[in-house]
Amino acid sequence: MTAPLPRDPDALRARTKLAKKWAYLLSSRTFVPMSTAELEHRLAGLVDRLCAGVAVESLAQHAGRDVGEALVALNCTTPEGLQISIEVVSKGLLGMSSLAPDDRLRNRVVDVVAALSASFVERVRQATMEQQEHLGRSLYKAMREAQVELRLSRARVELLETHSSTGIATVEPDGVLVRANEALARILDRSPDELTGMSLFDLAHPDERAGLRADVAGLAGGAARDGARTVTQPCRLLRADGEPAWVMLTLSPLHRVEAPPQVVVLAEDATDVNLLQGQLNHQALHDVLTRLPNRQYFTSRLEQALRTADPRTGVTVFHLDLDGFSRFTGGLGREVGDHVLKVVAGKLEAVVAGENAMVARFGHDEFAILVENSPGTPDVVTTVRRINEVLSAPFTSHGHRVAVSATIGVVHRPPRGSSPLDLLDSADLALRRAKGGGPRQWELADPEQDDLDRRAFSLAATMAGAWEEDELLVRYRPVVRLADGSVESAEALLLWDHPGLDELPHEQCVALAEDTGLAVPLGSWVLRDACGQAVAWRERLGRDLPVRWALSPSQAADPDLVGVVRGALRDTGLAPSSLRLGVTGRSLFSGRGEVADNLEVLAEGGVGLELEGSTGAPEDLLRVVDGPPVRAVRLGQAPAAGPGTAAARALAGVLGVVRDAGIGLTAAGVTTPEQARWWREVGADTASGPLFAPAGPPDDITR
Amino acid sequence: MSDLDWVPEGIDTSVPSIARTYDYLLGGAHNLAVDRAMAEKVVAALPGTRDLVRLNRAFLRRAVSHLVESGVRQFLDVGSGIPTVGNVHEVAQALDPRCRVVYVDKDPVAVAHGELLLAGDPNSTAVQADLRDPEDLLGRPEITRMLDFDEPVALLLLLVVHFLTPGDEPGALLARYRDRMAPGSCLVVSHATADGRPGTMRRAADQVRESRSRDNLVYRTHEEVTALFDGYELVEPGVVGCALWRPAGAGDVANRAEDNTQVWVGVGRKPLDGG
Repeated sequence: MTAPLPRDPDALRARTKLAKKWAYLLSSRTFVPMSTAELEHRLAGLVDRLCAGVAVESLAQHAGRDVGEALVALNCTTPEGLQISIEVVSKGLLGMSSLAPDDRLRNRVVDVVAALSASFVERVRQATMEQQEHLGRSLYKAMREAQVELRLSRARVELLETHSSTGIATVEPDGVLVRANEALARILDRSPDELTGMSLFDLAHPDERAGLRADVAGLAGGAARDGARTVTQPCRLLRADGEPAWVMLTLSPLHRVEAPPQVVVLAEDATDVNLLQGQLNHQALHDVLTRLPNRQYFTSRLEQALRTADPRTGVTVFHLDLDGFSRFTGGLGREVGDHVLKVVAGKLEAVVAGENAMVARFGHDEFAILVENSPGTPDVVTTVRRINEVLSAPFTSHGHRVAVSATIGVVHRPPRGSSPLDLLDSADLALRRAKGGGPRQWELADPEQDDLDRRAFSLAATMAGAWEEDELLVRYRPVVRLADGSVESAEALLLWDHPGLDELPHEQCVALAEDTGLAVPLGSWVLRDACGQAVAWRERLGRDLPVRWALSPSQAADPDLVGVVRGALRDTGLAPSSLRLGVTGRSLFSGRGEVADNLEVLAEGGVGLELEGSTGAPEDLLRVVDGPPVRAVRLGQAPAAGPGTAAARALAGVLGVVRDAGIGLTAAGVTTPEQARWWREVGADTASGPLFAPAGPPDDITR
Repeated sequence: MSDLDWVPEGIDTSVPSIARTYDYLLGGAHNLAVDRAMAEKVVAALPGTRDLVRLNRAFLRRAVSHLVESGVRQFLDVGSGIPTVGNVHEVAQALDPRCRVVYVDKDPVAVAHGELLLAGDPNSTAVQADLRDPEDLLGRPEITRMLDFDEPVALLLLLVVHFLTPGDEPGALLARYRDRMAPGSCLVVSHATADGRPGTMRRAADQVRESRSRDNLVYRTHEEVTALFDGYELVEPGVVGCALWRPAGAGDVANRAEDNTQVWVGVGRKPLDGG
């Protein structure tokens, strides 16, 4: 509903002038969110609307209301804005005489302005209510978000308090507990309900009370306002039974709005090292390099598996040792070695990927696999084959193509309730037996064989202690002349007077000593004892009675052997010619010149060397003929076993050659008169063995 | 944990809020009696207060228009207060609808109101954060989603820096924002001053303090306000009285001459050569 407005220049100018004046006054008194030019443009439209209302009576109400609403929409909502608008608009419209006849103009303007005022007030009222409504909603929204956050925080705190192993309490400045958790109750051996209402100071050891009071007062009082100060110290609390409970106590102020501050008490059980253990557990149970479980972890898993495994299928343990692993670290460097171990770890895990299994690294190049068998688990032979197939696939490590193999000891389906340690021992023993057969071998644990092996290993392990306990003895066995049975010399033997076992014979003692690295020190000890005895016998008999000691391979290889022998001779005063040292063909003829050189030096010094040719290998015997300076060859009983055989006859021929070269011949282990006769026939001068006399204390030799 | 009647800071309706007080001084009704009481006390001490607030709002409109015209399309309005009429997004998006605007205030009510108001606008959002913690503020996902700091951003700080105490080190604080913004980014500041009328302005500040407002006015001199633009090149006419920054009509100027220079304003641009 529009009405034609006067188009004459004066009327146009009057309307523009009104809009400009209105815009100027409004924008300089009240905030209108637009530029003055924009406001002028808007207000010009409103002026036109007002003029139409004055010109056409039926439009008056409508025009006034529209303009009132528009003003509020322009954010012109203040009383000042209304006052300016009514003044400017009324005066302006009353001056536009062309809009209506004089007698009507005044009333029409009043009608329009009245409608404008009414709608302005109505709109302002509505806008105010809407905005207050918005504010209320915003307040509610902000409050609700804060409440949700608060509830979440509270739930978090409660969860922490409930499940923490740290004792947590909130106390008033006077020390009264308003809240305490289960952990604190546990530390103090009371119930949480019982704790609430008690005083922290009464719960503390009498000696601690004064200090605690001062701390709580300081935190709850003035000091609290200076910032979040916290006190941590060891402290003794009292349990229900009066016993002290050591805790690490942390006190912190809890600031509150419109309420006195409280103090939060944290009490960590100082005797409870569970937390620390938890952190250490992983490190303690895993190998750092391969990240595989270690022996400890494996053992505990095995222990569990032995109890819980399905008895119809049981478990299988594979104990692996990489063959010749030292050649990786020694030959290609530690980096390659480490890398190979990691790759092996991955490969072994792949082999048992489909099984309920654990792969562990036990030591340097030792691994173990535990398989909890199911009906579908491959048999042991298949698994062993797959392990070595997978390991033997070459791969590149730091530029080297490498492949590995493993020797494996297997324990298959041990009885339920077996001890995991015994089981691991069995696997280890089986592994050692397998190693005896060379690389890439495997062995199933055999309970009977285990017993023997286990005894030997435990003996070796306790040998050093036995030496200290004087359980190791040097015994002497006479070596007699076959011609007349007189004592020509004595051989020193090592015996172990084991408190729990039969006396261990020389051969076993020497083998054990060799296994444990005791051969060199034990050998030196025997040597010295033997030299001392030989001197004693000479004094008693008035003639030389040489003594003989068989060097073990490691003692023969000892670079210090010459020094040890010379020292023993010097300290005891024994003539070198009264000492005879037995050496194996392997020591004497080995490529390592140093060993042979040492022996040669001793021989040149007068010490008698005797070749231990127990097997009577002809090549050794022949090498002796134009080889190192050996005074005699000592042979065991194998050749004498069949006196009439071709082998015996051949040996007799060889021994003839030896004898012709001026080298003596002596027999060991002679048990029968037939053997003694045979030896005499092939040219042996002397012999020892049960037929003549057993080994005994030194005095037996001269009796 | 027994404080069940605890009211978070900014929602406590017994304490006046700067954001709601501005709203009242601009003619809005998003305010409470406690806010109106503080406003009237300040007006009594400083009769031109309404004009100062109005001129500041007019300056904001002119500055934003200028920035859009010179190519800036991203706006970070910190201390935005309650968004009522004539807001940044309205001004900017009227010129280019692609303009993105983030309103930041520490007042949870102002932010809640902003969220309600901007619910349907994909290019604008409101975030509750504190000007004094730039790393937290600039790292907010709501902000990094909306604004690309590899492109120029206009940081708008209107009538908010004068609530920073000397202990807040406003210069160092603004430098941390500057260092995070791309070359071509802009800083807009308006800041109340006591220059010219120290007594009157002190009485106005006293009224704010006595009303138990959490924020209190710290007036700064022309020199101090100019120093806030360290690292920026000031756009003409530099740091001037609010009404004197490129006025375009009667609404941009107050009748009382002193009201025209009671707030220092300026617009700076971070040079493209990174200097």
